[in-house]
Amino acid sequence: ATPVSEKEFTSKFLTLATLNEPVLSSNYQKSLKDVSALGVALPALKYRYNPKRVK
Amino acid sequence: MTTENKNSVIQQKLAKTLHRFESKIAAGDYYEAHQTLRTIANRYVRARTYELAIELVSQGATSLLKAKQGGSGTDLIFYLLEIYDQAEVTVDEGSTGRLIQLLVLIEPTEPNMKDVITGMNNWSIKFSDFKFGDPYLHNVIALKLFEGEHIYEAERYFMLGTHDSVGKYIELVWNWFVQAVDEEIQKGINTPQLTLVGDFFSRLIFNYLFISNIKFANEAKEKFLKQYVEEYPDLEYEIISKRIPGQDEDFKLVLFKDCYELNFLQLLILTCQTKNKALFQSLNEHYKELKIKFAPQLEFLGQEYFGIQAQRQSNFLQDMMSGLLGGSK
Repeated sequence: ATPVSEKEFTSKFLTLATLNEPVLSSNYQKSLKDVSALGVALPALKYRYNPKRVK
Repeated sequence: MTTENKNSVIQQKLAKTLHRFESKIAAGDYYEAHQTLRTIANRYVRARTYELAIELVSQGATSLLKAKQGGSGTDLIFYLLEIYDQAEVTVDEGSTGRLIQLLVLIEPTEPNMKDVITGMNNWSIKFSDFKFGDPYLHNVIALKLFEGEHIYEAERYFMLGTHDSVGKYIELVWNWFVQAVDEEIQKGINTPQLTLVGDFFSRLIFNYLFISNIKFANEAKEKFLKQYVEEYPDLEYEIISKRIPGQDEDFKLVLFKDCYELNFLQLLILTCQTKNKALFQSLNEHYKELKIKFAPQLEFLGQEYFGIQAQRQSNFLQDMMSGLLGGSK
């Protein structure tokens, strides 16, 4: 089979993903009172942030 | 004596004490002022007149911090937190507001600052229903940590903050990204934005998806990508709008020709909304490289939204490395 192009994939994917009403609405927020895990620590970036250099 | 009279006598005494304290501060007699105030506050605490002790100590801390006496000022904040704890002061606008006002006055270079922050947050965890602390307090804490250049810690508090924090978090990530691009350009690299943008954008999306905040994830997606296409007008992309049943707004995918990472992350938000395991798996299969790159993140989301139990193949070296690299700066 020929590999599916990204355009083709996303188009099909979007169709499937929007067949039904999503379980969580686009403005869903779990109350922070119910949050009991913060996920995983994201890797550190190799770039230093310099607050003084902000344009 | 009526209660009203008694109260007014106490208020007068308190006002007098504070007045004497202020004159000592004005005279530069900080040590003396600090000690005297602590002694009097102690008396109030022993008599369980906590309101007075709180009033006295927080005003004292305010004056010392304003007089740039960070050491004594933060000492009184710790004392205030002790009183809060003893008096079982619960988290509300007044009690949190008092801490926020003090926090704002602390110099970002104050060596005790991080400990003060931890103390405040621990109190808000103990006396509220928030397992990680009060969001309003977090918003100010994040700004303070940011000023003190504790960027990764600031990021964590922004993530657990209020709606106000979202804009600031996006701004932080954006500025960081722009600096990274500049750094690479100076090294002679062409269009580094294409390879760097995913590393930055992904932080916003993952962090908000981790705590099931779809609204903030979507907001970060909109704002960050808007800024991205405006800053780099040469980018090739097309916008695909799709109606989502039951939702007021369409899902907009900005399909980038040269950065599939951004495409993947946008689709990931929608996928989490559906909680559809098959979709999640098909997304991961199509973007195999990202499935590897973001393995720990996707594993967590797999459990959180799709009920996929992680196969705990312990990779000791990898765990240790991510532990070392993932924490503070």
